[in-house]
Amino acid sequence: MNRSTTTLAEAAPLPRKSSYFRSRWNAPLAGYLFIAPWLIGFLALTAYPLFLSLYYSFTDYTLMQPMQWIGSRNYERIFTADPKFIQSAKVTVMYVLASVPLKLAAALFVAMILSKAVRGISSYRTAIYFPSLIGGSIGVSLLWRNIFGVEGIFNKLIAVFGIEGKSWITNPDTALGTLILLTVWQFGSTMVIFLAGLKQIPNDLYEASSVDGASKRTQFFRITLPMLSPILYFNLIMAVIGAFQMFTSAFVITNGGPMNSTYVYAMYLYERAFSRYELGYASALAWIMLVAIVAATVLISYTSKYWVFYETDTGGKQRK
Amino acid sequence: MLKWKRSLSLLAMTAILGTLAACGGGGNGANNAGAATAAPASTDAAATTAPSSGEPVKLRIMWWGSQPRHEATLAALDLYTKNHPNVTFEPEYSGMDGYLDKLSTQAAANNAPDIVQLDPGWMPDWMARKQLTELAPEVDVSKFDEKLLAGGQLDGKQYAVPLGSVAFGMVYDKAAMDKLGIANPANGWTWDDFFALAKESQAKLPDGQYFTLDYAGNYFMYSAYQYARGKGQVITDDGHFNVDEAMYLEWTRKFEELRTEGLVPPADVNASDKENDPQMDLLAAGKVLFRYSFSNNLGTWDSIKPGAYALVTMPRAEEAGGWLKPSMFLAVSKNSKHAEEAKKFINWFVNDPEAAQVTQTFRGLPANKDNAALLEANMSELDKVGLGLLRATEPDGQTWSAGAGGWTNFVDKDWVLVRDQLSFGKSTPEEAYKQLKEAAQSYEK
Repeated sequence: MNRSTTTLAEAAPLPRKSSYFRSRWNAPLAGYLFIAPWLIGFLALTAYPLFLSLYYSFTDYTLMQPMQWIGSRNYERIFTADPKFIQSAKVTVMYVLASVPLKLAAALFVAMILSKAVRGISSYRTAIYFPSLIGGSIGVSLLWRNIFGVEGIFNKLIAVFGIEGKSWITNPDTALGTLILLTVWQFGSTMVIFLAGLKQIPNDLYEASSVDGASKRTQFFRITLPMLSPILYFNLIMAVIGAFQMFTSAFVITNGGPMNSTYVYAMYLYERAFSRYELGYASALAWIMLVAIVAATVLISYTSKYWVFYETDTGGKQRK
Repeated sequence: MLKWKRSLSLLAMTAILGTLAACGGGGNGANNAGAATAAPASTDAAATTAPSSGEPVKLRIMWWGSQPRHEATLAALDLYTKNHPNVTFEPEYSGMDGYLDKLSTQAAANNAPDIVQLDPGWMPDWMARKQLTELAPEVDVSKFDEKLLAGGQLDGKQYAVPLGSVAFGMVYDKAAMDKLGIANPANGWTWDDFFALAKESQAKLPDGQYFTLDYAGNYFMYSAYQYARGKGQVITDDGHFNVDEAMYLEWTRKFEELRTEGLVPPADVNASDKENDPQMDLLAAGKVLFRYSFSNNLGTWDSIKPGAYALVTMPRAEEAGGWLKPSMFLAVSKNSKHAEEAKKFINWFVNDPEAAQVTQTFRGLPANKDNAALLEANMSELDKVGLGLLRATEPDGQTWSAGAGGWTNFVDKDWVLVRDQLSFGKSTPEEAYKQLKEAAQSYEK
């Protein structure tokens, strides 16, 4: 972030401040009008509820009683006297740490295969992207529940190889794993972005390196990964944000069980808000999640300067 | 390329904003609700002044149940529309799974259906939160059993009307037991008989078939046991945790024994059970011989495997184990814009003999005494079995109570967690008791 502002400043030295702002307001009025529909929607449907929820988080708002300002009491209770908060946060962190790398790896792997020029490749692409179209739905979650149940297809499949299955989704050791698998399976949009990134890598880099005798493996680590790192960076942030908010599959497939092994943070938030109607408390939980997501994102951006390579960065000073 | 970098940052920012919006969603819903709680009086007024004559009205109605109940209810709605062409329905029906979650979410957004079916256990919460409309004077409850009406009353006002009366007992796979040569239980049997029969069946049960479900951590079954042993309610009416430690340990240890002897399913199989689901119900799948049941549910199991099942009273000890209770309630939600029409429909649904003929006993023996007598006169064999359990439980059955408000989550979440821990062998009976007691603290008043 820091670097980009300096580059901007170098490219266009700031005019004197006052005239800068005046010109900002006068000239592009038409522009503001054009974005007005979005702007109004954003203010009314995002910004307003957002700050309202911040306000609620400092109240004891429940649906049926008049609310009272209680200062930071919700937050104090969450951090000092709420075992479920800690428990659900733990499950969520485990889920994020496991599902994000796996999903990215799966997406990259498939993207590399699909970037090869084979006859009929576009129909393969469509077929492989398809799970992601239906992935977030309740229907797929129900399907998953049946696949990994005691009598599910998965157990029938491994029975062919003489392995005796179990009920994967009702076993505390494997339940979270099946949910992670579902997430990994929905790599489609990540994969498409990788695919676009792979197409951008100039072919001459590969040609030159193979002339120099580089193996496929070396090419992957020395050319593909560095050239793809901005894309990887973007996909990583998107996947982390998505994973923190995971809800549907845990709610539908396992309902947080067994033994709370899939009781993710969003489920706890939901329980507080919509089954106990403690909306003030739930808002506080939501803001803690938001801060956690922002912190994770900032952390990733901070480390990005050590591993993300931009072609225009000259002299390789960023390159490690 | 600089462009890449900037556009990526921009996309990432958009994604973060997306998060904010998602979090803000809670606030948004709350906001609507806030606006609505500020003005419930005005909605009420609007509802009562709205003219009701002949104006087309569409009522949303929501219930849970199994296929036979869905079909009977839909037929009743059609009949009502035929008699009152201006009233049509938008039914939302499902199984019990997720029903309360869905309904609560809609209610939080002030978007609950006009007419809702509620479990007796939820009534105290729903009435205390003022989410329902008083049913008088449109709904006539003069023919109802006072005991059943009580569950839908608060401060002398009737907010919900009981639909039927059911007995809490057990269902067993008679066909399988006869085949395996295991004796059938008889009404009035005791918990000692129950555990003795379990031991006796051990040698006869083939692999993968079990005597009963792992009820060690089951709230309803433990309640029945504590009742039978004369220790009263698990949660008292004034909102106190009243699990008797000695009884609880005894109960959980007995099931621990059944678990080690392979008389209840292994934990993961046990957890996969979904009552009344044709595929996932372990009784329907032929994996267990016994499970708890209400007297009106026999029809559902019978529709899965005709003629196989029978009912028996909940085992007893010093006192009876089972009880009669209102099966479920029907109510009009506070935010209904057609409250008057909704109440008129409810009045027809519970009082009209024609309606009773259509809805039969899929919600228990009708709470309206005239309709109950009407249906009893020409009842199917299956319903007679259900009625038999009702009559066998009636004389000395426990007094059912809706219990204290505010404990729904304790039963649905905390108790369930301890149940899983017990069945997976992750906690001892002593730890389980301690954990329940601690969890109860945040609910006690």
